[in-house]
Amino acid sequence: MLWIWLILALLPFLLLKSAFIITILSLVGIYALATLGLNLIMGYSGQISIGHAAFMSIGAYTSTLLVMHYNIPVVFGIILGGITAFIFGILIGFPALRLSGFYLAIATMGFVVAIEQLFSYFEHITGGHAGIRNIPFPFLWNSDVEKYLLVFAFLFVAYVVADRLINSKTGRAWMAVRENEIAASVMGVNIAWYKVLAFAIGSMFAGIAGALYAHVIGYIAPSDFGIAKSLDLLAISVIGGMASIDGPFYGALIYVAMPFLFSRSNFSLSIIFGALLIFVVLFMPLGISFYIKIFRMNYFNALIAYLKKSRRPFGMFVQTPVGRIHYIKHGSGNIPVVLVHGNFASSRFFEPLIKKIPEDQFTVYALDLPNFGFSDELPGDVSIEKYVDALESFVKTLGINNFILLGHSLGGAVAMGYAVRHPKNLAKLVLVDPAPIFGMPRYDESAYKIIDVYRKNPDMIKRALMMNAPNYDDEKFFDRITSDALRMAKKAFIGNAKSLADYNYIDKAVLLEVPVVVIYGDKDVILDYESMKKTAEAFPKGKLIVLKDIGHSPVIEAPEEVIKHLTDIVT
Amino acid sequence: MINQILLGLSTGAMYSLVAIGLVMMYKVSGVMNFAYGNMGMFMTYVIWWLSSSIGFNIFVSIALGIIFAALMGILVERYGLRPIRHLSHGSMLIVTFGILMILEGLAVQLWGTEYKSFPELITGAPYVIKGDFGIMVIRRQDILVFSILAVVSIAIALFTKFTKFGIAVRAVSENEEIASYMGINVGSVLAFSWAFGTAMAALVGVIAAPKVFVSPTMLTFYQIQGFTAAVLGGFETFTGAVFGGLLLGVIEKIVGNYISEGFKASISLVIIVIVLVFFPNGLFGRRVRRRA
Repeated sequence: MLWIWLILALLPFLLLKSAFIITILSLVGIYALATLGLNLIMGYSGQISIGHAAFMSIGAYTSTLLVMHYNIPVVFGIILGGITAFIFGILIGFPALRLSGFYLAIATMGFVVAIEQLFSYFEHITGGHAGIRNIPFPFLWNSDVEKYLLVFAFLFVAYVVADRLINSKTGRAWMAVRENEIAASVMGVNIAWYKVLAFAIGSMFAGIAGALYAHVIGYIAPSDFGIAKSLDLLAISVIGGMASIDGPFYGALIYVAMPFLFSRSNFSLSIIFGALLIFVVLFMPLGISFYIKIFRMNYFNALIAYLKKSRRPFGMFVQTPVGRIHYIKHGSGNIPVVLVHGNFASSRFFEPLIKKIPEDQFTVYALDLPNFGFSDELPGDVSIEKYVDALESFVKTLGINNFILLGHSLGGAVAMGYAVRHPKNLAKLVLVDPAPIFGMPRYDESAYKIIDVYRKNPDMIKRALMMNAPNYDDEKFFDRITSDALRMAKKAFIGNAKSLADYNYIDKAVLLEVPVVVIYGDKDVILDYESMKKTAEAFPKGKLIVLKDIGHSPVIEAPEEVIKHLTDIVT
Repeated sequence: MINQILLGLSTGAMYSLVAIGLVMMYKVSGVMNFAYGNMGMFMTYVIWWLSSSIGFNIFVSIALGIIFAALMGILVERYGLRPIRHLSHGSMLIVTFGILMILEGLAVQLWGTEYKSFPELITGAPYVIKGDFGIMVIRRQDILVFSILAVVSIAIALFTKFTKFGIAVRAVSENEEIASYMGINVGSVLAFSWAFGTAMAALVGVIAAPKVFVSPTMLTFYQIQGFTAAVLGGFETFTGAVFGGLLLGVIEKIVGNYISEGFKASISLVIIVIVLVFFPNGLFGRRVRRRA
């Protein structure tokens, strides 16, 4: 998502002529920042606050007074404003902890009214009801652009902080507290600490946003941050999506843009915004960001998937009875090895293994199974037996005999299928985290439908592949594999997963006289030790090797180990 | 001093009335109605409009306004809140915020922002009582407020103790699900609680209007003080609400007199915080043990 931030950073330079729009965008950023804080409080830790504008007020006045009276640089003023709001957040968050329910809402409502009243009361410091005018903003070149960039910088940092917090222990603790406080405390979550933390950090964001508001607009009054503004912030949060970190951006955009949409009709905005709030709560409780996310996953990412699809074959083609098969060949040794890849992969998946393999000893053939990579699509339904047919014709066409067959994951099932058909043609069978010999369990139909989401979301494929290879960090490699995976036949996305439940070689395996090695990484998140043990025991000469701290993909995580087991019996 | 307390009690009685309405809605439906003040505000506008623009007698307008208020409460509960009862209390709360915003916008849209004056319901010279304690001045308006509070409190007490529907209200506020097993129509009890609460809001609006004038934000402060009063009283009992309101009125008056008027809201915040920290069940609440 970095490119979106890049566009946002460059945006003001494209709009140099229209200072007005830049200011509007700064305002969107300010409200997004404040609401991001509110989302931490409401959406993630489940505390309803309607005093959020009070913290904006505190930040705004702190920063303004420091900058105007003590000549502190604006940036430090803003940071100090945030810190002051943080402290007040702790002070307000603590008493509200004592009781669950609506008490925090009441306390925060009292707080926002009290703050407004107090700031009006201390006239000699705050300027009273009239507020403070002409708040300075020392600029170097273009005040609007610089203001925008200042807002942008703070927003970016806050976004990253929020993102990191949410996807960490803290965020999980918040969500646990939100869902069920008792269950969370039983799991060892310190409820008080996490609730106050969320409240304080959320308040700090509001404080920073308020300080930015003061310097961008140049004028503040206590009534700018009253209960009405608090409710607006709450509405922004709910409309955008409470438990999301991009929701505030959409909500703030709507909030700031709406006056311009309705400027001609002279219609009260409060009615529209209130009605929108109720509509969202009743009919789309997850907020706009959820629908935008769904749209992205279904349509926008499909475009990216189309663009990312790999287009240049990197190996050779061979014409077989089941169609054209794409493969790579490496080495000139006299022991032939055939490598069969798994689901969401291609012959390229074996690159790290091929690099390490002794060239003078082996000749390696790695193929793209049909439906995968650059090989042709197979007609009809997907099944493991059809893949076995394809492997059979591939081997026959190239005239490979007495070879070592290595299969990984889904390829493991294909390799087993080949082995029970042509036991005589094999020197050895190596199964690396293979699909179990009796097949995978069959899942509910709806579970398979989810897999189709991958077809349109390259990022998800990449993350899934990386999760299955926790010890291999070359992102470029995974990008290439993902591009190949996107070439998979449309039907194969669901078809492959279903086909894995449709075979069982356990009866035929008994007759296999070839040595079989099953390699299993004990950090595998797909397969379990028991089924691997059963797979190894199904073969008369089966042997199970467990690799410590290796995930589902030993061929790329620990190629040396795999190569060692290719050779140990042959030599 | 005694007159200060009396004045405080008079304002406090208003807070008690606000708190009674809030507590009724909260006890039965489990929602804290943050739109309460604005519902009352809107209905006060309607009453003002009925009497000044349409030309109804003021008391007829008030009666009509209170009936409309009850209808509005029923509509809001039925179509705004009941569809999401199963979701979470948080979302119901947010709906009340939405209603708050809509009503405020609607009032501005229809009647503008300038303050409208509202006639006093009772006029006349205050009663003056002289005695050992000095001079005591009781305004007629105060007597009106006190008598309304007394009537409402006694009516609620009798209603919830001796009528079948009142007992049903208590049953639903104890446990909605079991009450429904006992053959109680939970829906109608919910509707009643909102009708009652909103009618109370309109009543408060009418009583307050001569003093604060009719304006879009006329009841905001009363609502906050009503919440504070309810918190003082523990948010569960009507007795708590009544005495919480009276107590708050006196405290506020004394603070306003000896320190400054500008601290009124801060005082209620401080009270809320202190009560929440030291008396989690309110000053008049009883400890309720519940399975979570």
